[in-house]
Amino acid sequence: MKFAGKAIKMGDDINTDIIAPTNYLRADGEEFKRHSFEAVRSNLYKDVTPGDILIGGRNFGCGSHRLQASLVLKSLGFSVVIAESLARLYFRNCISLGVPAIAMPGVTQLVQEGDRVEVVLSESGVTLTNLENGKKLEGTPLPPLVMALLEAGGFIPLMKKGSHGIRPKSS
Amino acid sequence: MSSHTATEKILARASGKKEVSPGDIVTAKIDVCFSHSPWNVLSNMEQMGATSVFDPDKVVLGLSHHVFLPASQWYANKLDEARRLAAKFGIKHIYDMGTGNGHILVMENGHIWPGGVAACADSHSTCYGALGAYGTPISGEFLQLLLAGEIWFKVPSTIQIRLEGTTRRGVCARDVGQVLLRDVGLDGALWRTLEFAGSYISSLSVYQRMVLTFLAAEMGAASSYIAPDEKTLEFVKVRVSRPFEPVYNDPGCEFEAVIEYDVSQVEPCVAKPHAPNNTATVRDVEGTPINQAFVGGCTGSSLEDLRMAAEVVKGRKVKKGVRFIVVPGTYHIMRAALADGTIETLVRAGAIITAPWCGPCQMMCVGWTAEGERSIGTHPRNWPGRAGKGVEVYLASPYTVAASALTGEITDPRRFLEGGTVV
Repeated sequence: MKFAGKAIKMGDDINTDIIAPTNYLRADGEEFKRHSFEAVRSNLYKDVTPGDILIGGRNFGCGSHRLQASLVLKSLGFSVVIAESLARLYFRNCISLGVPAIAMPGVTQLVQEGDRVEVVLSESGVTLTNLENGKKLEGTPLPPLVMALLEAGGFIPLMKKGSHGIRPKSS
Repeated sequence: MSSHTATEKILARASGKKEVSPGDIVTAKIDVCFSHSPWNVLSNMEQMGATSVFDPDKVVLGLSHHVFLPASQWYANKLDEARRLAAKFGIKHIYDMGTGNGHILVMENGHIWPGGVAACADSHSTCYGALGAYGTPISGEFLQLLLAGEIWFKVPSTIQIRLEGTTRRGVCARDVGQVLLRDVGLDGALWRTLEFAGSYISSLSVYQRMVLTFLAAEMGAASSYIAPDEKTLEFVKVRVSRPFEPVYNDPGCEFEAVIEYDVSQVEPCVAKPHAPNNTATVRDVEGTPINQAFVGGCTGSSLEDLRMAAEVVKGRKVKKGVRFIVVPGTYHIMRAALADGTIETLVRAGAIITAPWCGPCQMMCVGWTAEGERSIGTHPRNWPGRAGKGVEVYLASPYTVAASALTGEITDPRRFLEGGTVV
């Protein structure tokens, strides 16, 4: 899998209340999108070009379990989120919904706001390249199950295929 | 075999392996899964043509977690849909309106036990460590839990926090939790098991231990653990009808880190806006005006929490203009607080009591604050955006929240407690 776009950077401990504010959880998709991240950056939705790459700091996605906080990245137009570290539940939620979320320590040093960035994800590892200066960052390979989830577009498509041990108990 | 932590041993047993180590990915069977907002996942099940959940006895719906009554017709429709689908799939354990916080209900009604595995669709599922169970949040993959009753886990390493000593008058587990949040930080326990041990933990009730195991979620933990003792077994023996086997650390097992504390020096603390680890002493923020005070939420709604608040306000009146909201965690707690006069004391002082639910923590029902207002509460989170726009939320113990309700400003509770000394 390969992603390329401009970087949009966030700080540390960006939590799901910031990504998906409670006030707008029941709003329609377009309205909801307009308020995503507004506590730290208003009108973020205007700055995203489809395919852009979200760069997060430490503990990205901490807080509540809400799935809207993972899904809104897709509707905002982000192709992938790369963070210094990812909150556990946020990571699992993103992967289960087919939203690529990858922890790559050092990314906030290598990438600045607005840089053109390329991310290549394969079974052998993750490579992030800052296209402005050619500097690269290598990440550890994702477990095969996680790769399969991302390639299938999430856990439901994979479960329907009955592969990778994800299947309903036979009745 | 080498020595293993309790978490490693629970996950080994649940995945049918002799032993597992931190970093291993295992597929483990679960003993309970709880959801408070199950309508989407149950609709997905229906669309897939499924006819039942993996085990109707191991699925718990806690519909009253976020609302004690539906806050809109949208919510009423979702609840109605959830009830219809739960009946269709034979789900037995449904806690409906006014029953309370789903996690506490799972523990109070014997759906989890020492050594068991709980995977629940809520970030505070770390709480089950209070009973010596492995509890962890699973949300996006909840459908798999419902259908298969098993799921993959990455085995976490364990950080042990040893707490020794006794807290001073007017200081409780929440204040200790704020000190831990300050030091461990929001990601200090990321993907780890946070174990709480030591003489202070032994001295706490099961419910006050829960305060720390709920707060483990705010430190990034995947799960928590407290070694089951006589108090734990006393708690579960009247609630759990099946046989179970508690799990303990092996002697000499490897912890990623051990952190030691003497709690006797802990003072009343708050989390200042806008993060749960933004800890300060009450002394540092005393006098800050507040509009609303809330005792409740997963980290402040037990009978003891309500009694702490009642002790402070007994025979006194809430400051005019301050909304003092008290929400018992569950119907069990509410009944007990009615029986022992705690609720009467609170109501006489001017508190607003609601039926059990999570309370105004994440604004899903009632209790909103206006833009420009400031509140203080015993709930776990004060992130920006969680309680609306333009509000400031402080977090504190039931003692401190109740004292602040009396004065209309953040107040050291020891000013109102017999034997309390403000140092």
